Amino acid sequence: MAWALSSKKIKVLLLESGPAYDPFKDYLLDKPQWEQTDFPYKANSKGKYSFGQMQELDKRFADFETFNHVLGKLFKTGIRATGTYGHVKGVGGTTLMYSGEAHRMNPEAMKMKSRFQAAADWPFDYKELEPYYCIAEQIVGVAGPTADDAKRYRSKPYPLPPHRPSYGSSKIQAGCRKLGMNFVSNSLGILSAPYDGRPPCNYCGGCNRGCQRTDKGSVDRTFIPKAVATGYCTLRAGCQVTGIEAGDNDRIKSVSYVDSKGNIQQVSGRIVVVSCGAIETPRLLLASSGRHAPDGLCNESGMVGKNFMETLYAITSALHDERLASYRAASADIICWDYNNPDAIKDVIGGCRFSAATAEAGFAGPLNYALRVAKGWGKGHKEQMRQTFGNVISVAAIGEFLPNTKSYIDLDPAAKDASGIPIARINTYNTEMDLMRLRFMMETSRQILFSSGAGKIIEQISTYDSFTSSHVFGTCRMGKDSRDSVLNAYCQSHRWKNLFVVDASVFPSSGGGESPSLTIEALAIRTAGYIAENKST
Amino acid sequence: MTVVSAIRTSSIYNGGRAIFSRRVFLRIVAGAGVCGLSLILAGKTVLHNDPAAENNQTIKDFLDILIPEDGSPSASQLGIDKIVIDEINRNKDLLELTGKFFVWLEAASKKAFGTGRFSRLNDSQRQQIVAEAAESAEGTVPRTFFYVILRGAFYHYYANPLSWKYLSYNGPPQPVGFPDQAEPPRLS
Repeated sequence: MAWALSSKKIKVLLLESGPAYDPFKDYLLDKPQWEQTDFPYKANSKGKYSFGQMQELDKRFADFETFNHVLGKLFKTGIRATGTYGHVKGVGGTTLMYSGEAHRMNPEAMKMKSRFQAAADWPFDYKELEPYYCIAEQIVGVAGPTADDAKRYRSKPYPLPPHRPSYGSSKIQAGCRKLGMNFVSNSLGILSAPYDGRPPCNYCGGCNRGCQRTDKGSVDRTFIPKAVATGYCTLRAGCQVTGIEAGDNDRIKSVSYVDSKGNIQQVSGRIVVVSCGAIETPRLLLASSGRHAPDGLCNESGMVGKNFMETLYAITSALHDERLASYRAASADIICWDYNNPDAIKDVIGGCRFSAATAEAGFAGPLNYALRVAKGWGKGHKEQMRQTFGNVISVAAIGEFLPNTKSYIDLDPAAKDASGIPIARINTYNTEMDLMRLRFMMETSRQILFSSGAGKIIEQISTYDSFTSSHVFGTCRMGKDSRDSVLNAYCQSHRWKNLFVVDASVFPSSGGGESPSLTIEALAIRTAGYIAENKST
Repeated sequence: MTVVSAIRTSSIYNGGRAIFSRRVFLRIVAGAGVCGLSLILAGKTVLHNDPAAENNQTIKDFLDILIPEDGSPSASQLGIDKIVIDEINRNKDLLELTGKFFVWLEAASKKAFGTGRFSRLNDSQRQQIVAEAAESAEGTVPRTFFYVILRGAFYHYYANPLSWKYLSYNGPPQPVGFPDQAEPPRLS
């Protein structure tokens, strides 16, 4: 958004709550202790949140509980564990630790209401968004397959050729062929060739730990420096917005924030754009209640925070007989879209996708093998290390999540942050339909692994028994009807005409496992165009 | 998408959370201050002639049973004992757990081999005692200590590049990466 506006010579003040990262100093991939830390969080680079009542586990799906063959069953209470909202507060946001997946929505998954009476329809179709996907792909430098995608029309080829599958992923690819499934090169915001002054990937498998080489197209390496370079964008890191003040005439008057030195500041602008993600954005809007908006800002429909969609996710890992050195790879280098359509899974509404995920699963180096793969202690453990190191392959599955009345974000009635603002409370619930989809995802993941030549399943992680989400959606959804949505088709508040929201909270449906970052970027570029064309907004 | 945080490699000493809940851990260490053998890793209590050295030696010997030399270095050969002892001394919960474990260790060694000093046992005897700790009932002091220290030892040992060459691992991942990723591995 900042890039799209500033490149149109519109002045932008970008307030980022978290710190800036220097890949060369802050990331650890060239250090001996690289594996001791996942993503190197800095002070104030994680938001605070709490959870509402977690659901009792449905024992019919107990086969899908999280376990590791060294650690055993990880969650034993019979109640779904609270887990983690995986995100980064910082310049570049969660793209700092994402796998680089650059996906377009499946057009079929944008009409869930009219087709299945589930979720909501997007207020426009895929064709409307397609040109903006092309722009975003150019900025990021997406590497993708050369073959046509039957599900997603594209007007331009990917900027870069696809990555070759890693040796480990090639085993998964071959195994899938035996099942009649088709794994293709994933479209990744990871450079397969030099591009825009950045070097190509060297396949270290460390995408989720922060890309030290800068080949991953995280926002801090792509859109933000380009925005600042226009001379029209000012970036202020470490500035926590504490409230948005509404004024008369249905317009936003100002934004309050605490700057990096702890001083309270207030700033006004012609347009205010909120991009804090599907948990923090509703929190900020709900916390910004006042005389003009007693139930929270933009909440005339009562929909702010509702329709929360989380990540329906499973990752299954197994030991292969062959020496693979499977830690050598770009994250999620191959993907299977065969079950991505919302009607692709028998008796289930909502699709899913499968991807190679050995790096994402964290089987990236000796330490993880020592803790999660080799059993026992003493000489036996060392021998197992020698026999198994590099032999794990993992398959991840992400599926559609359908909104339900028990999944929503609200303000914690008791807990507040350092500024005295209530923190977000995550209320999460998996319906039977979600669990049936998850069952298909996990059973198929196992079949893929076995068909790929892997033997024993050594680890299974699923959102059945633990909330674990990076992809979160829906809490300020777009729609044509102001009675059941928060924003119009241009991500503009139905009431507050100078207030926009651009993040995945605007998604009316989650899609069938597509990673959302490219769609967020495309939506931002489209919305910026609308703002530029409607300067009287 | 990143992997579930339930199986993290970090925070190994944070109450042993990867294996034991914080609640279980605290229940185990509660009351450790009244146990018979006070912790002397920092040399605070006189039990033997040189108590700090005696207990540090016990930790070192315990770690070398967990990670022995077998052509590749033992834990202490990579200095893991010093790191672990330092972490025990800096973590009150772990310090108390270690105190309780030493009580158990002394009793178990005495019962099995007639001496309370683990360091005076031979390698086979030490292995027997360590196995007893590992196989103790879930939630007990010896089992908790065993797994917390085991994971802590692995956490540091396998972050040392000197342990990697025995696995044909050419890390760390950067700056070279693995440009041969599409090919079968060339194993040394």
